[in-house]
Amino acid sequence: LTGMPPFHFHLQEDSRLIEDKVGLELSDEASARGQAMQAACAMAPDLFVNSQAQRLVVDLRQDGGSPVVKIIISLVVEEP
Amino acid sequence: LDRELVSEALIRRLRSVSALDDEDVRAVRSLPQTVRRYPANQPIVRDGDKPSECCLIMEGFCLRAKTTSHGHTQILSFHNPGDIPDLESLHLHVMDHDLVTLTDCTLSFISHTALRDLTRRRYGVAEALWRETLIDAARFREWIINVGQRPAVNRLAHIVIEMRERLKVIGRCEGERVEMPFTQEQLAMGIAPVHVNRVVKQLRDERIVEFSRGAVTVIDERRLLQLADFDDVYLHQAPSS
Repeated sequence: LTGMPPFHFHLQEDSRLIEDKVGLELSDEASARGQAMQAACAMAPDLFVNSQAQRLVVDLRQDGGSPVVKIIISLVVEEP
Repeated sequence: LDRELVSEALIRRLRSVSALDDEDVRAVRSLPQTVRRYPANQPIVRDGDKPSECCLIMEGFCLRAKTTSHGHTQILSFHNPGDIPDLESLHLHVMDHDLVTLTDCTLSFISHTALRDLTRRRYGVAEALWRETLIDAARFREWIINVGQRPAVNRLAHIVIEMRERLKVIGRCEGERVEMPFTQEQLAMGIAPVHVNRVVKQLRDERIVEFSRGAVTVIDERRLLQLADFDDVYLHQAPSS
């Protein structure tokens, strides 16, 4: 679409790795960071409630593999 | 396109959901229709427009969507050949959302004046069109359940089954391949693209469906139905339902 190299959003759900080989074409790094944040927040309820996972990592990388940012969401349940 | 073919498409659509008598059919056949071709991703009518005609999709797929003042677009519905996606504009004079082509489309336009005139003369036709818009509303209710209650993977499973059932009725779906010329993002009905990738990958890895360009192939029907929690009542795809 933009001719820009794609950003890759690798996921880690507890110990399960889901590699994003294809990636997403986005206009710039800021919008990729926005997508990572949005995706992590959107996926968390699904994972924590429906799949009983406790930790979600969105590992955003440039096309060559260099890291941009990691968004980590952990579930903590405290019993009294 | 031949005139006959154009009026038959409308009659077939109305008959698939409502009972029309012979005189109703004759009256529908005499409605003037104008066929126009639209390229993909082009608005047919926009939010705020005051259209003077409705369209029947002869060929192609469309979607309805609304964009917030902050620029976020929410898809409201998908439409396949045989649908009349802006029939409500016959009585709601200002569009409150957009109707956009997803693929190249052949659309047949019927003027509101002619339709209104016909519905005043033929109660059977008026009832059939009324039923059309009620079915449209029933689909929206299911869409709300999808967006509001079903987790992403179930939502995606549901829309695949729904499209399959809708295409079956118009004879466009045989076997397990379901025409769905939507991007993954459109298919997800508002889920973030990264999230969609994950769900698509899950359905693929578990060998439930396969996604290819413009189509989805059902591999494991039983598991897909389980995920979809699908009951076809809301589609009302027979005059008796």
